[in-house]
Amino acid sequence: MDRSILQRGFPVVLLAVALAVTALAVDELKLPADVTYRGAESSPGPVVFSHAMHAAFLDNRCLACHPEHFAILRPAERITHEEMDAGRKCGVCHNGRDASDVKEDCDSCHQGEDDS
Amino acid sequence: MSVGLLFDATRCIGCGACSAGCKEANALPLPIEPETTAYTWTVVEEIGGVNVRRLCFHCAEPTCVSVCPVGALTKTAAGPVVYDEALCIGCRYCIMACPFGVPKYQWDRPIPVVGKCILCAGRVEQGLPTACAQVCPTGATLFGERDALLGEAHARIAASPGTYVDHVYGETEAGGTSVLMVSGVPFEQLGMRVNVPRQPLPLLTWQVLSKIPSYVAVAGAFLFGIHWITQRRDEVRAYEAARDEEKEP
Repeated sequence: MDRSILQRGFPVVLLAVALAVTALAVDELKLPADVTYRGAESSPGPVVFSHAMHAAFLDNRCLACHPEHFAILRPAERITHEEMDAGRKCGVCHNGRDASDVKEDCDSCHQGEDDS
Repeated sequence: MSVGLLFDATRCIGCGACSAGCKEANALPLPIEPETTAYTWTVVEEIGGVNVRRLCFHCAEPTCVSVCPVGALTKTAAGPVVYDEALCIGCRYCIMACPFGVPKYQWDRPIPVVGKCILCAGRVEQGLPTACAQVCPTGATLFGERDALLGEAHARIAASPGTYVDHVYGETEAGGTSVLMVSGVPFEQLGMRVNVPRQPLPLLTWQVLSKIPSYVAVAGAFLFGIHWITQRRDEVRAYEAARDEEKEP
């Protein structure tokens, strides 16, 4: 008796789980679009900042960057390497320990235009 | 027509963007504290896996406004309950009066005033949404006309009664508030007061205070009457004593 209920119930549970997962996947975060930083003439190439990638990597902890290191209401500003190298802005995490180093790992950020 | 917020606890992921936006829009000092203070006007608390925002509910008839002895707090026609720091004398009456425990005190200042969410009154005046609603990446906090948000809240509950508890917090609490909340778990489980009276709380004191002028007038007349009678008696007694003295010698 119990088993038959379980057997009949199981596909329903599976379907519910599948629906829930789909709903979660469809309800993606409304994050700002990627920002391309072109930089100066001497720059090794533009940097494309992806909100989606950073948010996913930081487990959606917006407070890791906002509002202390980057304003959340104002649009993206100009970021200089002096600031980053001094451990501010991107340099807060990109210090070679928590993430790639702004002073050495040029390629990890200066990947050029979006290839797609 | 006044504005408000609809917070849907089932959609909140606890990212904290609302707190960040609030700090920035209102030029509040960092850090973002774990609970609301005079400098942190909104936080997201995680209770049993459910994320719930803490912020001022912006009552239609706010108790804080009715008790403020200097009129520092006001309910604007647009919806926000705002306060004038320059007028605040730091008496903390509003803190005691608020049924939701919202206003907080600047305990670290020599001349403290209160602090609380002002529903981004300045931004709202410019036709902008509140900062928390603007930055929310999941739409858990929506900004709009209160009537429309209330309709949306009921529509969500009706569309998926299994997901939500049948209660729009703020629809009737304290006579109705500009901030509305819907949730998948009962609100008492989210650390919220559910025994808040359904009538506007200032009515309670108004029932007493409105009668005080008549009581003063009636009681004053009564006491003056007693005073007049006793004085008259004394006068009569003195007159009779004087008259008797004249007769007797």
